[in-house]
Amino acid sequence: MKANNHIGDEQEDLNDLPSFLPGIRKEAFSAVPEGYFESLSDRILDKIEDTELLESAPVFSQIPKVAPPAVPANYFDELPEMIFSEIRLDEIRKQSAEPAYASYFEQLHLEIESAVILEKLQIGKEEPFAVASDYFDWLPSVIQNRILENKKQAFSWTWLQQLLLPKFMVPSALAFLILVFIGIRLTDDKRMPSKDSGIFALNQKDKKEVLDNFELFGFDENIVLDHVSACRTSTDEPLVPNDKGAAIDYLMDNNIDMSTVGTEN
Amino acid sequence: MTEYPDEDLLDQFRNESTRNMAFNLIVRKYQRRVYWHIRRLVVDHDDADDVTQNTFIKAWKGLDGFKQDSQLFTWLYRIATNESFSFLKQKKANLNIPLDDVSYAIAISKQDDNYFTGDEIQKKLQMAILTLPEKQRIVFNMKYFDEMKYEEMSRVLDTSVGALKASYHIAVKKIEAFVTKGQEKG
Repeated sequence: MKANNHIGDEQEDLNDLPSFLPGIRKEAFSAVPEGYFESLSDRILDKIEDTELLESAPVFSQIPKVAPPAVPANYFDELPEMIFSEIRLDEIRKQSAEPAYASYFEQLHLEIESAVILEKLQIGKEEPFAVASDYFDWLPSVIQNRILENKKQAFSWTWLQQLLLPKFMVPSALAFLILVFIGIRLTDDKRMPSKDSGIFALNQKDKKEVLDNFELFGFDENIVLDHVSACRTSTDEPLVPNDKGAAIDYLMDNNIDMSTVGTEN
Repeated sequence: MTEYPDEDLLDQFRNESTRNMAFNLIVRKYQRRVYWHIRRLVVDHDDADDVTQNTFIKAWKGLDGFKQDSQLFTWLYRIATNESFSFLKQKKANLNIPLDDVSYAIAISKQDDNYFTGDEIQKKLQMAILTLPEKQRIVFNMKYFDEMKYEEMSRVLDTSVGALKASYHIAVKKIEAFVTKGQEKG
């Protein structure tokens, strides 16, 4: 560029470049590798990240960037199997790891020594304890009975647990209340004196009277009670009429043939 | 008595109509081995009777969930062992005896047990066994009396074979010391 030249003139001179350099084509400067502009933004971003990393951690500038070493073919296919093999080997090593008695021959020596000691002691292997001769005959039955008991207990407990489930809670509570109500009613009925309380409610004198005058077997207790009540409320006379006239009246009232009745002693 | 294979018995147990019968057969098949295993641990017959019954009742409750990964007997043995240890713990608590002395105290209290028929040396052996710690005692009993294989014991006790062999050896040494000491005194 010439001194004191106007910038416009300089531009014109540049535009005339082909006339000074006839071998160079203008369009040659516009050629770039294929895909250059497509990947440019990514490369710029990578560059920015690298710069930022170096700024925040300068130590990385001292570590050379080396491409990872190559791995043998199928390495990653075989890797899981190799890891499992190592684990299995480790387990086997652990199982057999007995620091004091590690080797087979050492253990064999111990076994022989143990056998020799026991041989020397001359102790018989017979069972020194005794048991009842029929013990093993009835043991299975005892065990099964106990299992049965356990099952019954378990069943009742399971049943109770079922009743306590939320869906059965209301019916269970109602059933319980009904049972309590019935129970109370029954208890009250038992407390009330009734006809059914029977001969056992009578006092000793009345019982003796009844038993002296009626057959002991097959009688209806209610009839006895009616008689006793009648006797006690009207008079204290004996239950069987002893007046002759009254006896005749009784026989007639009941349509009993007098000839069938035995004579008085 | 005919002994049915475990698989058949378990199949019948799973069937509601043959359940009780199958369980009865299971009890009959294994009751002796289970009883004697327990008896050697708790010593007294009445105690062994209780623990045996409890063992089978527990088995009844758990048999539905029993996976046939292990043998039925191994599984029963495991229940019996746990029940025995629980019983001994409870007994110790009831008698108010310190943890380490319980076995010895039980042994002393049972010296006149009417159900003991062994001779003097066997009595001494039982006393020696009862002074062992629980784990060693059970290992000794299973190996010496039941003649179980270490592999089977390992499944019952959930312990490695190596550890079981070591326990057995220690138990034998202790028993030797106990018995010979008694003989020297005598």
